[in-house]
Amino acid sequence: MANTALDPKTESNYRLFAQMAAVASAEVHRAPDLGSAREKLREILQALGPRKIVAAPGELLAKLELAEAAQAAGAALCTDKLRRHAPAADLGISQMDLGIAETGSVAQNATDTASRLVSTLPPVHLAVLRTDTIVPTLREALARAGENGGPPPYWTIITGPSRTADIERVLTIGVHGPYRLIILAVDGAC
Amino acid sequence: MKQQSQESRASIDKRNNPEDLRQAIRRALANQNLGGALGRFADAYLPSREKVFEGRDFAKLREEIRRVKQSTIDRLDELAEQFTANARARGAVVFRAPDADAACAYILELARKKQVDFIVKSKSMASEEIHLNKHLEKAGLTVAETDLGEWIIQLCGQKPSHMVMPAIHLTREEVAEIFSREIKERLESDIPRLVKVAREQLRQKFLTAQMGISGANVAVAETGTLFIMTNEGNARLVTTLPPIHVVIVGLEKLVAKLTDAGPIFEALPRCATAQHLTSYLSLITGPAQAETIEGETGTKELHIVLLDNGRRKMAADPQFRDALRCIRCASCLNVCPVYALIGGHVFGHIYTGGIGTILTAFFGPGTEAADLQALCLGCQRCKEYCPAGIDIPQMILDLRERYAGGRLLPRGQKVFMEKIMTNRKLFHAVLKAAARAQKPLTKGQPLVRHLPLFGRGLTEGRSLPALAQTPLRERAAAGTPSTRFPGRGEPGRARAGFFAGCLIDFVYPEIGEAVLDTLAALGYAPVFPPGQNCCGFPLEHAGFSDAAVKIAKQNIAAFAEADVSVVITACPTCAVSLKKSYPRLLADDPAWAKKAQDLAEKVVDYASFALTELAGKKIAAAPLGPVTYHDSCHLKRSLGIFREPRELLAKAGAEIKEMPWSDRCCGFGGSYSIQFPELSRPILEQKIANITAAGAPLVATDCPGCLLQIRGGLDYHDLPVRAEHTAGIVGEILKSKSS
Repeated sequence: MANTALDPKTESNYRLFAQMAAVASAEVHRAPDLGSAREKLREILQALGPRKIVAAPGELLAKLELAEAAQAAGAALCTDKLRRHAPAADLGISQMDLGIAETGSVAQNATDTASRLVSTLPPVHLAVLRTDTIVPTLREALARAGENGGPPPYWTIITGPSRTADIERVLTIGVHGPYRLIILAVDGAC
Repeated sequence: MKQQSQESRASIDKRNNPEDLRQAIRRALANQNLGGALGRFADAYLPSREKVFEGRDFAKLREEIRRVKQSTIDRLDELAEQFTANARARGAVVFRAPDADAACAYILELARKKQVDFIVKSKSMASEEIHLNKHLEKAGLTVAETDLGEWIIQLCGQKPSHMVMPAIHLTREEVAEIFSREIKERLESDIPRLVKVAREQLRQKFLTAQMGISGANVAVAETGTLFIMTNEGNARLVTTLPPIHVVIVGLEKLVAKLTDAGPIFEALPRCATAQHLTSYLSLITGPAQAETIEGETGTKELHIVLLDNGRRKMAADPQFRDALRCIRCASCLNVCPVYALIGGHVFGHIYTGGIGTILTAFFGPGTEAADLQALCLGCQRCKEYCPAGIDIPQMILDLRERYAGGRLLPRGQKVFMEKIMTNRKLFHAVLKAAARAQKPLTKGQPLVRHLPLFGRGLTEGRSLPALAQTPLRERAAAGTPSTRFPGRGEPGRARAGFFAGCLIDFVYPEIGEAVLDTLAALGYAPVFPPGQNCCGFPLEHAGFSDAAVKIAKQNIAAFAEADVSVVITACPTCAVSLKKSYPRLLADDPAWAKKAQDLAEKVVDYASFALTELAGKKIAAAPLGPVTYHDSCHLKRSLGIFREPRELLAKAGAEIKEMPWSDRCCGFGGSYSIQFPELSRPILEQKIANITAAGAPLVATDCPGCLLQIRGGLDYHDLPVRAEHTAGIVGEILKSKSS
């Protein structure tokens, strides 16, 4: 089943990534191949039981057969007019461009409003990521953002769910953004 | 609640004379919520910070940030132009605002032109600095802060009391009260519930606002990129939902290259909130896509207000330009013992704490900074933790000199410092007369008030010692006992000079004798040059640098004449003066610069000197038992010495039992404990509690000032703990061994 053994570097990047993402209160799942990733996605949707999902279109999401998974979970899936749909959605799904091991973060070119709306307005954000895109450090990620003639108009790094400690410094998860960040890392998805 | 917010506002606005500052301090100290919140934070901050820096080289990171930001300061105009050109090329509109008025006017005009009447904001200190909300609201616009802390203080009409956590001074009960009023519904003081209320209330505002205003943490010249960092996600909504985004960013946030942001964002979340990274970090480079509620997509409008408002003036000021390295992490507030007591409404004006005092002097009318500078205790702790390596305490001293000149000191003290102390013979005659006139009482009697540090002697919560009947200088001159004071030296022995300083000379001569004994036991000829005066630190610290220069020259001459190979100090403050201040004070004086440097190079603190000299030798005759050690601010942070005294004491038979927070200030701070007894006292109380917690019957320190403060506190509480100078402990052992 685990047909695509990852090189040791990717493996160690993932291990640190998963550890640090947990430190930042994100939930991390890993699928060793596309097939099990599809299963994992269905499991996650079943467990969440959303009525309405908003998703920013992406190649990996298509490969994971998101539309079918949403249907199986009995959820309405919206992929456009998200400005209208996202505020009332129970779950936002997007595909990230890379992960950062040392901070447990996920990052993406978020120039399309869709990618930002689905990851900010719904109470839960599911971020799908190719395991082999995880880079070791924040600095490397920033360098990547600047490749090809400078950063895109909007580039975002997300580390765990939205949080605040503004009242008596008591950490409270979920202020303006999602209460939960679920990350699904997929091996061998290219 | 209402009453309190009014009081807080009063403390911000009414700051025209020192008495107002005193009243503000008194009010802050009486506010138990404030003390509790800030105290708990101060205790929790450092351990969590240490954890997120695990495995990282802080010194190296600091050097990287220093380099990046120094280049910003050196090339401020060039980077501003480059940023402007590149951001424009990417489609942003850039406005270079020379001052607050211009920035506010631009944003108001833009809002009017676009028929905006409702604005959402994410946290921006620059917008606080220019009083943007007030300006827009006066013109009839509605502005909603969306950062939870900022929203809370907006609702109750206050100003931020911390640069990262604006509402840190308010309790959950107070927040519940504020929110209840806003939504007209009785709310319990349950934090998750309160946060949920904020989410619901502000969500509607995000969705309906026509303009979003944010600050930025970094602006990159080569790409025109803005970095915005938040935890709550409000900046992502502010920059995504409304069709217009206005960014206000100070010129000092510029960096040359995209990769220059790396070290800044490695340090900023770790220092600010002890996080590896905040929840959201966004890079905005030109306008991104926007979407209307109908689902039509278009391009956003992005306006960048690049704010000067005193920054270019600061960059041109050699004494203060380094302050522009600040990345607004608020580390300096988080470790400041004074901030922990009174918070940012008293210690600050928009920008708070140590760095806030300096920024306030430049980013505004500057008048508020005149009094704020006096609140710095000079403990140097902020400098140790600043990720940009800014010498905040030194800058505050420079501010004191420039803007205040000791104006908070009573007039008598001023005359004493400027006229009497600079005349050594007169000064010492006054001290001797005072010693004769006093009765041999100590407890509760401010008998050392004739020392430069004790003009008013108004100290509660500690006992003060009496002036010695025979000061060290007379004991040394008389050579009593003669065997111990070879005076001008014996043939074949190297001459070691001792710089005593006022406290050892006139209050604790026995510590001086212990130093001289040590020197003799180590095979040196101890020399006490009689021409030595006060080190001048209290003068410089009070803003009288001319008087400090006069005194520096007297001491340099005295030790040059004494012809010694080394100069020992047992007072870290004197050591800092001799080693660091003199070369700086006299750097531009061709006749004295080299002499100052020569003296500075000879100065060694007692513990380091003794430890080096005793290398490979055993001295302990019997175990001393448990000893706890208090690090003096100047010895540890200004001179970097903390290992040596502990090793020396261990060599002398001590079993070192560390107290919690051994390097937190004792609250003495020289004249500070006289000027602000109300602040000095609670800091001393914490120190006494920490000493007690160590459970050792003896506390050692290397500073006679700390010793005075700590002994006073221990005596006041009748605690069975003795406080001694390291030299007193070690000198006695060496003397008994050599005799």
